[in-house]
Amino acid sequence: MKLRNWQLPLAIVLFMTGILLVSALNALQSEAEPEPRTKSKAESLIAMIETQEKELKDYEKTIDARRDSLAKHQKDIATGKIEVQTLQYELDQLKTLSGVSDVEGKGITVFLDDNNKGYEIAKSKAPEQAKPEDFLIHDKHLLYIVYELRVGGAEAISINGQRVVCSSDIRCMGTTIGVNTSAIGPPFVIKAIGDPDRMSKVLETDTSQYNILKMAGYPVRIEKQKKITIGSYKGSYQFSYTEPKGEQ
Amino acid sequence: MTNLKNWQMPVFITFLLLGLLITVQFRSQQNYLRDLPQQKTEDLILMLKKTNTKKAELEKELGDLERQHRLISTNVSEEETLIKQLRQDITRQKMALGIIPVKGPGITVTIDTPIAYFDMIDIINELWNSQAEAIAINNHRVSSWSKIYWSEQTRALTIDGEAVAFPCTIKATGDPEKLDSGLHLSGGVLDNLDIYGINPKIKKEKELELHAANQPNIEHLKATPTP
Repeated sequence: MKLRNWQLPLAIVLFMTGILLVSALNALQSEAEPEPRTKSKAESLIAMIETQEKELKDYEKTIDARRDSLAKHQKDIATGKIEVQTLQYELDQLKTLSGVSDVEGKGITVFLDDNNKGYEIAKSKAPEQAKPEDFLIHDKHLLYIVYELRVGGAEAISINGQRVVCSSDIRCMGTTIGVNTSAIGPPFVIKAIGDPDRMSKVLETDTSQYNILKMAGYPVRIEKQKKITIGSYKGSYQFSYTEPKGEQ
Repeated sequence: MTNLKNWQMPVFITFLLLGLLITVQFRSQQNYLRDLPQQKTEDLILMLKKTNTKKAELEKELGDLERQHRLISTNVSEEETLIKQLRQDITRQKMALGIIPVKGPGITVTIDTPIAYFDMIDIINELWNSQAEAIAINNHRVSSWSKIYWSEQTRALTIDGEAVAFPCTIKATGDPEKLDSGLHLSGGVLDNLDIYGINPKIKKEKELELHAANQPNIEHLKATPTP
């Protein structure tokens, strides 16, 4: 009776062990022996999978590298965009100064016309001596007034709509006056942006060209303005002989 | 109690063995599952299909990246071109304004005796008229805000607050022939000066160097806003 006490559990355990061992052996056998006829097919499949897996790893590496380089390029573009903006701003500022863009600001307008009345009077007094050219506005008058305006601190000047830039020439072209090689005629309207008082003061100096014309009886006047607009220089800035000195 | 000990030991050993057996079997099962040679053919085919799909996906991704790369490379080169153009344009504007040093062929005009400020203006105007590209009076670069005038205080021809010393040399870059013939036009600047016994010496030069003018002091001027 005493023996029975442990015999039964042991019997159960051993029985279970038996079953487990059998199933384990079964499993081992079935796995270890795939159908022999498909063995070569399986091997080639395995080889293919292994190759594929290697390729996939390579792809992943390449993709990673490409992503990095793309990110770098994108950063370069962003940096470039900032540079473009900076350069564009600088160029705009320079164009405002050089006359290539329309500008505005306070300033004066100078009106000048031929002294027709003076000529009529002179003719009536002494018909033989009165020369019409002595009563006209000449290229030199305009040229000197432009330089007087510059002495007065003019920042932009135009004559009858022609922007006067650094290299502008004012000269006689037959019976007309050429500014930037465009013919203009009376009446003349000179616009100048700058301090209105300073510019007027220079023009009204005794020895100034403007004052000389005024004294001679030419119909001239100055108008101070809070805001005047001056159009852009339509000519070109070509440098065929000159180049920057040193690095720019 | 001594009875119990008798069966306890074998049961304990048996259970221990049972536990080990189960563990070992589980482990080996796991390994079989991972080992390709242990896979069923259908499973292998399935795996191959999966790797094929993944490969196709990666290829597509790589293609996308390459496309983006090409696109962005074009953008980079376009941007580089734009930056180059902007720099060139800026240099040109600076040359026009006279705010950078320049060099080139041209002429020098040397005047020994003092001249009136309007004579100086006439000479400068004639040089611009003859397509001068840059002008300097005694190394003082002429710009569009240069102030050329007679100073009552110093009794001197003055440019931008600086008395012009004589003999004075005017340098102008451009076509030497054109500049020379411009000054020599009959009834021109030189003829006018000749009346007063002033005969400037004109010399064609292969290479002249001109300093930069100061940056303009702009207070009132601003670009008209473009709509």
